[in-house]
Amino acid sequence: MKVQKLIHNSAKGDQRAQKQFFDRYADQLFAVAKRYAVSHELAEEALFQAFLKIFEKLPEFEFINETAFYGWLKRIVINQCLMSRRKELNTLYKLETIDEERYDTLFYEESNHEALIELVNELPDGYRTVFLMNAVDGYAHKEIASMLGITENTSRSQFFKARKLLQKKINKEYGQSGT
Amino acid sequence: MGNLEHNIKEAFAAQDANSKMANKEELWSRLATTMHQRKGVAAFWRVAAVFLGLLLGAGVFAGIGNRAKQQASIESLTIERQRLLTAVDSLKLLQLAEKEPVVQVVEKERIVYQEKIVCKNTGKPNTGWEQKYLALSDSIHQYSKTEDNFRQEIENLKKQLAESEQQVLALEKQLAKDEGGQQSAPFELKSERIQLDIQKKPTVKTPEMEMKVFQKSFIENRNNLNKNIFNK
Repeated sequence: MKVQKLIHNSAKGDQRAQKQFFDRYADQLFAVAKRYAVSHELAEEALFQAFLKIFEKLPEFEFINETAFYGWLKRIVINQCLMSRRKELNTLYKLETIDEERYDTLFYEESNHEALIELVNELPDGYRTVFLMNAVDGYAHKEIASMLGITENTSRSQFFKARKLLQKKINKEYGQSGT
Repeated sequence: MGNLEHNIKEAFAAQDANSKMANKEELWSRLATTMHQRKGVAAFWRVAAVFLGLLLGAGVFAGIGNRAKQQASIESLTIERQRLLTAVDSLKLLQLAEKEPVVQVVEKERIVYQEKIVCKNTGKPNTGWEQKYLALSDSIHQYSKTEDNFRQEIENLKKQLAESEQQVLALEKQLAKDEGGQQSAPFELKSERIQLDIQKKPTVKTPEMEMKVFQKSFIENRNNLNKNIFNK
């Protein structure tokens, strides 16, 4: 079934179409949820709530292309994951400070994907969220600021701090490798 | 974007693509149940919303009606108030009678005659029918008086008649005695001579001459006691 028809039927309340819709996007969206949720269970719960919201808002959605549609779905999932953590993250952004002078601006060029993901996941919570939203999911700092309820400058500084910390970790793990 | 971010993005994209949810079916069944329940609740709220909407509409309609009614009432009250104000104003303008002392100088020992009108009942009949009634009652009274007089006179006459009858009887008896002593002697009343003939029965029978000792009225000749007395 074509995506547009699937969306249309799901919006109308066709349970079979909804099941197909769920099967099509659940795995990818679960991966997104896992990125932002603290635990596996919380990621599942966030996905559940996100799907309820998606099916509720589906009739209002105007389909342009699948990429835009997937972006919309991802945003709902991320928002759902951040909803319960917004307060906690806000506090973290105020407290987390890193001595920037101690880290060199080194770039890691080639590395194992899993190791990289591991390093990102090891980042402090506040840094990781902003870094993932900007670097992985492609949100601008303005969007991040509005989604997390922080200022644009905070988002920007958090991102650079996360980046520096990540570089330091890479250097530590793999040694200095380039410019 | 630097190489680091690019590599990380690629790494996560690859992870997303290969990601598989373990308990997908469980989540779907939970999702389906919740959505079904929500549909029921939504249907209930839809009905409730329609009902509430109707109620609200009726309320608004009643409110508008009530407002119009009140407006009309206010208008009528305003008119009434205006009318009352006008009445009060007119009453304020009315001249009231007030007592004012008047000094009057009256000369001593001088009789002042004034006509005083006093309503009195004269006792005279005022209406025509009253006058007629009084005249009739007077005439009835007069008539009954006259009738009494007549009766009295008749009684007197009857008494006199009875006395006369007794006198006649006494005379007749006397006459009969006298006839026994002087038979066939000529009877002279005046200077002229009257020759006695054979006595005849009185032929003329007039009611005036009929003597009645017994007052009862008898039938012609049957047991007529009066006739028997006088007819020998």
